[in-house]
Amino acid sequence: MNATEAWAAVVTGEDAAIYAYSVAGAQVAAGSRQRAVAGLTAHQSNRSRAAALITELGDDPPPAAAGYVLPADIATAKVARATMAGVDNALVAIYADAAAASGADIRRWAARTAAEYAVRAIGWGADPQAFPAGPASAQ
Amino acid sequence: MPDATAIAITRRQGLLALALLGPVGVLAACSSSPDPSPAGSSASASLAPADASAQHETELIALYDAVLDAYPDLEPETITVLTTLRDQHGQHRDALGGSPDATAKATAPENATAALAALVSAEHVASRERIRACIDSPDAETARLLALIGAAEAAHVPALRDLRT
Repeated sequence: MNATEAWAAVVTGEDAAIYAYSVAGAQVAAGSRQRAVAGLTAHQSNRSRAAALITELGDDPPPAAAGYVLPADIATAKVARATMAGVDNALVAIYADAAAASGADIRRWAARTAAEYAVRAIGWGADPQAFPAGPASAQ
Repeated sequence: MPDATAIAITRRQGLLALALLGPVGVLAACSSSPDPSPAGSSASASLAPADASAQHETELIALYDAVLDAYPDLEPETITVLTTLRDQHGQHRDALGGSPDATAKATAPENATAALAALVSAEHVASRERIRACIDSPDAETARLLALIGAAEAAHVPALRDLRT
């Protein structure tokens, strides 16, 4: 996977995460709202940074999809939390790919973002995974 | 107006593509990344980050074992979590090409509260060092694996935080 492909996958994943956080983040209890807002802000900011990287590489960032399929029972706080945990853990693997495809400075950012998202997933109730990759162990 | 069917397909590809990213890619990375070095003295510099990290994983396992041995009366749920995290370090060691027979010495802190705090601290250090090794790795697959492990170990910190003795 070259750098452009790896970062395009990041942008696509961040777009899905922004959508998921926008919908699911509104369903969690008031005590978790701050966490949801912080997560949404991080996803938006990292999406912009990843898109800018692709532009620097001389390519166009992929467009966001019109919408995404979310679990039918997203309105329950439990499913909302599991959904956010799932997208965060999925992005860990996508950022690890992007880290591998990038030089040192960008790689540092990618690896730190992967770690930040893995921590965020635990905050939403996910079980720890040896190699974070998706929603499998989100509760 | 975009075609409704096209939007539905796009949607399906969107979150499902993200949500269904299973462990397959990770397993592929695990099986290919340690890249056992050829016999002889040609231990390449590119393997050094993986070797040092594998040794560090062995040390972390020893610390978990020392804590589990010293405090068998911890809350059952705490023991379950500690055992899970310890086993994940075993998976990290294996993926980095470390030997399951490698040993390290570790001493459990003097009480259970201090023991949990020591594990939190050790995971912090481990995550930071894995990310550093990732940045330094000349080999892309090793870098990918180290980024994943660094993230997993960062996530061990909050997983340990709320445990009761």
